[in-house]
Amino acid sequence: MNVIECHALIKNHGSRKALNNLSLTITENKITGLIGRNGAGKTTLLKIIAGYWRETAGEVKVFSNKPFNNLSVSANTIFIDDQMNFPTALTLKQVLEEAGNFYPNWDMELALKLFNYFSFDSRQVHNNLSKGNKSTFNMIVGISAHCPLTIFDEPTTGMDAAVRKDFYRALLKDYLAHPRSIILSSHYLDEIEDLLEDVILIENGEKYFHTPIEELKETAIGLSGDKEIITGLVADQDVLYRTNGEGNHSYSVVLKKDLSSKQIEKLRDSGVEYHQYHQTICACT
Amino acid sequence: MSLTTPSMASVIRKQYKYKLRSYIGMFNSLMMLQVLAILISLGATGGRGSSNSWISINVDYYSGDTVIGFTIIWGFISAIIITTKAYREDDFVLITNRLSSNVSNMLFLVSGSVIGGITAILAGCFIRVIRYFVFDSTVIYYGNVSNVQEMFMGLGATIMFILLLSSLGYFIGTVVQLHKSLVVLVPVIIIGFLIAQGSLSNDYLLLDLTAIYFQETSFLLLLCKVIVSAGLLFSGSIIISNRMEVKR
Repeated sequence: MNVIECHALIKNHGSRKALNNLSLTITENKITGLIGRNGAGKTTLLKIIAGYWRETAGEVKVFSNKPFNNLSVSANTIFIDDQMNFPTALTLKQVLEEAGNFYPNWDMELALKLFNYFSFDSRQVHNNLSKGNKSTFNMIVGISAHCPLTIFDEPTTGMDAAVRKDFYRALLKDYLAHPRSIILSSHYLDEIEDLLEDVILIENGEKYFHTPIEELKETAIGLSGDKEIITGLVADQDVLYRTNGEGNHSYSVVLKKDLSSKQIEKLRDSGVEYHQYHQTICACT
Repeated sequence: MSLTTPSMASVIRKQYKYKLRSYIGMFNSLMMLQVLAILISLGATGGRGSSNSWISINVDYYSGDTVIGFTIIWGFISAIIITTKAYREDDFVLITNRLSSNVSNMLFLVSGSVIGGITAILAGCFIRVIRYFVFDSTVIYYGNVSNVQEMFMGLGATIMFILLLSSLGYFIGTVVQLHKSLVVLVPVIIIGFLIAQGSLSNDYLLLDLTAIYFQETSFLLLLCKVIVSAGLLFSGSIIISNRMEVKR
């Protein structure tokens, strides 16, 4: 089953195109990483999927429904980001109880376990938490809701390294016990790459690629160097991503399996730099 | 993981309960306002006296009118407040859509009006009790406290007035949310229009308008008028807010 289907999606913010003709399909029970530079359109895409924003043009379907202002999409989706507001009159414990009233699959046992593990005080108020603790608390809500579609938009904002690691572990553990569709947007691909099954890279509101991370790890390489040489070399290759640097400096990602050893040799001779996928992706995000 | 299909009614019920718990601050402010109004009302709201060489009579009126007035204003302002961004976004953290959010807000405002009305009427009684015991006034007429039927009608009318102003506040709040500039424009237009209208002609539109409700002598008619007006204002708010994007 397709959880998300977007077709030729466009979103304008004023005169700026935040999403430009973006099409993608996400199938059930996968952890998908959404990566891209700041302002690439990640949050815009996720908010449209969550039903918070209305698309300007194109089609978007979540669980075969248009998500905007849709009750059943809202019931099956949870959107976690660092700007979540909870009522100031409720303590953290009460917020968990309220969320439990709403979400039918809510796992209170897990929520309390994580709540105690990260040593929250049940009398605290969400508004008074530090940035990192807010993110941690939101993450607890996101994991415990067991929503068929769970969206984390930059969930680790403000978290320290140890908490980030714990978060990924908790997420993976719970995902294995209760498989569901999870979208994770992050700037730290190296931290989440072990979690992900698929990676989507978007830039300037367009999708650059959507591939299984294994394939990316095994076959993708990055090239940087003289524009003409690289363009000549990759002319008949499957180029995933391309950027133009300053002057004649060009940067591309190609699938390695299509490059013969002879071509690689030629590359080295002509002074083109050759990277593993890792550095390449980091340069993209 | 299997999908769930919630019914609109169950979501509205959950949202409503959630609001009763999370908007508790509104009732705190109501309580403070009413205490303040009670203190103000301990002075007479009106009075007359006459005297001759041997005897002097001084009649003072004490009523809960100030409390009721304050409570109506509270209803108006609370309704505007819950249309603001911070409150709207509290809803969308959990399961909702525009309609369930609006309907649960309206149910909350109706509950607020009932609670505000009851406490305001009781505050009116409380003022008389204080006058009687603390200030040793001699009571010659009890007003609407004298018979139960009148008291309940007074209560009903108070609730209706609070509800009317709440629905008006909710409507204005929703319109203002459409665009930032409306925060300034709407009050300017309303007040400017009333001033201009008043200076151009001899009858005052605002007075005529309020007379429709506040000078209605039949309780049943008042009930109908308020329910229809509030219904229109609430439906207007739902239609307008359906145009907006849900969050940020």
